[in-house]
Amino acid sequence: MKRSIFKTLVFLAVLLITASCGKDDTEPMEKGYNQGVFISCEGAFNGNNGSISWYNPESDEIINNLFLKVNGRPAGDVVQSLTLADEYGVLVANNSGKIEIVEMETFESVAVITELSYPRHFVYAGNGKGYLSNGSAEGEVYKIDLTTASVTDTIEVGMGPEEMVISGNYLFVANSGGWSFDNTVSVIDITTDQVIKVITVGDIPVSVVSCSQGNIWVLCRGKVVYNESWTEIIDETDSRLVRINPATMSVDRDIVTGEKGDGFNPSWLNICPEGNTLYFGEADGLYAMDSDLGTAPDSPLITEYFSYAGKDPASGRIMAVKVTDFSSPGSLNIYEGDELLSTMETGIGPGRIVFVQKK
Amino acid sequence: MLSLPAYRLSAAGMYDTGSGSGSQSYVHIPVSRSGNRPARQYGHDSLLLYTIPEVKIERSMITFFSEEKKISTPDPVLKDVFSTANLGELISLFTHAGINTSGATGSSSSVFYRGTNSHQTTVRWNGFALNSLTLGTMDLSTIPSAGMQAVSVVHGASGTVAGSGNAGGSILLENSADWDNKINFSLQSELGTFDNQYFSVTGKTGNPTVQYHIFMFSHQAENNFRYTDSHKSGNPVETISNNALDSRGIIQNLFIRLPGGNRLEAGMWYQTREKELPALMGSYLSSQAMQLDSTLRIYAKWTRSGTRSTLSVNTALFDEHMRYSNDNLAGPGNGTHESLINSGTKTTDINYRYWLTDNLSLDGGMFLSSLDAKLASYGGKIRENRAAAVAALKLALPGLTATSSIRKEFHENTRVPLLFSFGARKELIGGLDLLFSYSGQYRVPTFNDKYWQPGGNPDLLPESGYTVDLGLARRVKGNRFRLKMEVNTYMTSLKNMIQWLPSGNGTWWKPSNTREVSVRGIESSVSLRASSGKYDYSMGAAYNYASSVVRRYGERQTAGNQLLYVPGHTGSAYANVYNKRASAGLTGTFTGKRFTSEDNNPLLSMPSFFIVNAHAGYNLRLRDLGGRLQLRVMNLLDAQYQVVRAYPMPGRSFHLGLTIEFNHY
Repeated sequence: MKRSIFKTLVFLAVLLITASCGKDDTEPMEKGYNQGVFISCEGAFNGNNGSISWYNPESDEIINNLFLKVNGRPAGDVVQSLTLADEYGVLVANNSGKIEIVEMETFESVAVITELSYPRHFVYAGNGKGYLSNGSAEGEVYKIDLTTASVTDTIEVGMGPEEMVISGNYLFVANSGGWSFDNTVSVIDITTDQVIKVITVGDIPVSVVSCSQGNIWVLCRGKVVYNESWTEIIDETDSRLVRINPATMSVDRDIVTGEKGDGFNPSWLNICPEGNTLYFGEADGLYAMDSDLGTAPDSPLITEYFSYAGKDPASGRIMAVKVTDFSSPGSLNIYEGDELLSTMETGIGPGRIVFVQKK
Repeated sequence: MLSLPAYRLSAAGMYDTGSGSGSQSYVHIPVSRSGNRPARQYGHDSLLLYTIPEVKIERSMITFFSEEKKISTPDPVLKDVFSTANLGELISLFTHAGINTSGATGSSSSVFYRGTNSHQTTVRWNGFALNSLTLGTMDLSTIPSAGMQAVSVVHGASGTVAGSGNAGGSILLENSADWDNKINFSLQSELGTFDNQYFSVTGKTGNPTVQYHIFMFSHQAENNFRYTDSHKSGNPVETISNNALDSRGIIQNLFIRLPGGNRLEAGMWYQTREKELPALMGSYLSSQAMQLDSTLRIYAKWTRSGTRSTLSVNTALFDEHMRYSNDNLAGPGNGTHESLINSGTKTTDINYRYWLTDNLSLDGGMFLSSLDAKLASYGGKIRENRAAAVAALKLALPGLTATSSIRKEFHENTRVPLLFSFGARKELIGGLDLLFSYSGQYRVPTFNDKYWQPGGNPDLLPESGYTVDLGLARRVKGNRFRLKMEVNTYMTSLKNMIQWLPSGNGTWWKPSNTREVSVRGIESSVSLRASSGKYDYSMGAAYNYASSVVRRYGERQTAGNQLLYVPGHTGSAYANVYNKRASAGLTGTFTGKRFTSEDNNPLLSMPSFFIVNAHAGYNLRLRDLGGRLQLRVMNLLDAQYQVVRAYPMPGRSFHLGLTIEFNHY
């Protein structure tokens, strides 16, 4: 009896000690990512499952979790954006406090810039230089040297800087207010890296593009203030599209896209490759607006809400992404005009699209 | 009389904590497993006799009506060895529990059973539910194991007697009196790796009519372990920061026996916990987040036992506060984010049990509760009143037990369906029982589901469903061993499950009753307790398979993916050898692969992990004092693993403990 029990104990001990852990499912991918449609997917906050999806229009196939498959680790937590910088891509992971620099051909990470408190969006200025908006309250724009993967300068801007665009020698920064309030666009002279002007636009400017005429369009979400108990809106303003004339550095057009009380605040603005059609999402769908006319359309192009959309320069099709929730794949929806051609799954929480044309 | 905590097989075949002749911690009253009255058929099956404190003869409605269900209790050696652990750490060692925890000691840990989520397991302290009003779950890391005399798990407890949110199971924590005790006093301290310090004082004193217990503990840990950050470029080895724990608490109980079969019981549990919350893997941000919890729980019970009936009136008042703060949520200089949650529960229940015949009893119960919570996102203070009525019947014949019960719950704003449950336990041959049960299940929406602004939906329906359970239990008794084997298969169907989804234009999220989950699984376990004269042994193993299939998700049917974070396979094993002088053993737990996305993307899945712990102890005697010197090695194989994605778990750690005990009977 005693011997058999001791044998059993030894057996159990061996059983416990010889067990092993699970395997890694990551598989390497082939080269050739310097063209196609890239979708940055935020993933779940604190889930560290932000990702990049890559759609290849030639094969009509999508590869999700591209960064993870190539690099063997997740892209980060809340992957905010991906920006093309010559043969490199700059991926901003907001809640990881980093930007990853990837070689577009292989999508391998070649450098990481860290210790960023609240990175949002990157804009490339050429010659290995770019600018990164950062901060949820008092904000700054970091000047980034991609060749050394370092921050070379810090420029103070407004509250909660979000998207930026370069027009000529000027960088226009939308100061969204972050977790507070702002209604300005900071203009930085990128030859001196100094703020030369602060332009008042609408409330909560979040998105900014440059059109073919050289004008700057700014999407202002509009302000919504709840009472202390979050049961009633006590202050609200319209959402607007505001045009800045770079020659005068002043607002020369102001369009209400969503009136206060509609319960909606748009969050993104995009422009077509030709630079004459603006796209933005409103409460009742995706709108397309002629930037030359500068008047708001009466009805949406597609009556569905998307987290982002843009026009593929190669095919001329509208590509729009939609969030399902933050534990499920999102979707890429491809339209010819307002006709839905196909839908396919993306990573979790798709938020931005970048079109890369083969050179 | 002084005693040491040696574990000996008692005359009744179960365990007591007495040390030898004349010493007796518990009153040995033979009670048939099929009833709570002294058994008339003592020879029916001596292995099914309970050895329980007298005051607990009047078993709670949940355990009394769970004869046909699997009930797990920790091996006494394990409970003692891991007495400095929190309940989450202990419970994973002896049940099929899935524990989701985001880090080292003191990190938030929720439990789930039988392929369900943590909303479907209720934790009860002396009969009163502890689950959060706002979240619906209970953080097991806040419960000190040593503060409870008994821990048990009813797998798949029925909603009729256990109430809302028990499709997975019920964890029952009990404080009970040892009426023979005069003075029992113990000091326990433990030092461990990662600056882990634990200290507790337990005192019990009284006489055959009054017993008083006090338990005080203090637990601090830096939890500054090293781990490989596989989410960062180059897989650097880093030391986790902002992960410290500071927890202190006191539990007191008073038990009074009065003439005429009357008993009074009262208890108080006050506790604070400060836990730093570390940054997740792959992050280059330094976290300064912290969560502070403080809870005050008070209860009182009156029980009157007659020759054919028992009446009990129980009331409790719980007050809970939670403060989350983050000084660095969005970078240096950007201010502090803070959120406060205050919640309170007042509950009273009346239970009456009447023995219609020697074999047939009828229970009636009424439950009243007033719940309130205040946080900014509710827009102020929310209060709800609830009531429930229960009737239950139990037939207890030699070799056969059958139960049936019905429950109707009344909520101010939510309609809860009428629930039914029934089950039976039949002895097929000597020592082999067949178990069957059908249990109605429901879970009422949490306060967050109903009142969170924006998005909260007061019109939500309760989640509802049922569990069908079929099992076999085999007990074998020899002169020097007890063998217990159990296998249970179960099927649970849950409809109207609540999920938060983005509203139509993505502005905010809103909960809705749009999820359906079907769970099928098998639980098996074997335990052996044996004695060779010089040594005693206890060993056991358990394996669980659960297929938790999401049948409907939002507005779409699904392909039948596994529920998030629910592993298909789990298992555990332990082996202990001990005598009056010393004890040693190993424990191991296995958790299978888990998915973290609704599409069950294998790239985002969590790999399986296997954790081995070892322990050894030496019992001391120094004149009138007893004690034990003990070494625990946790995660012996230094496995690198995560339970919750991107939150590393600690590697190997050593814990040296000393217990000094004074007993006088």
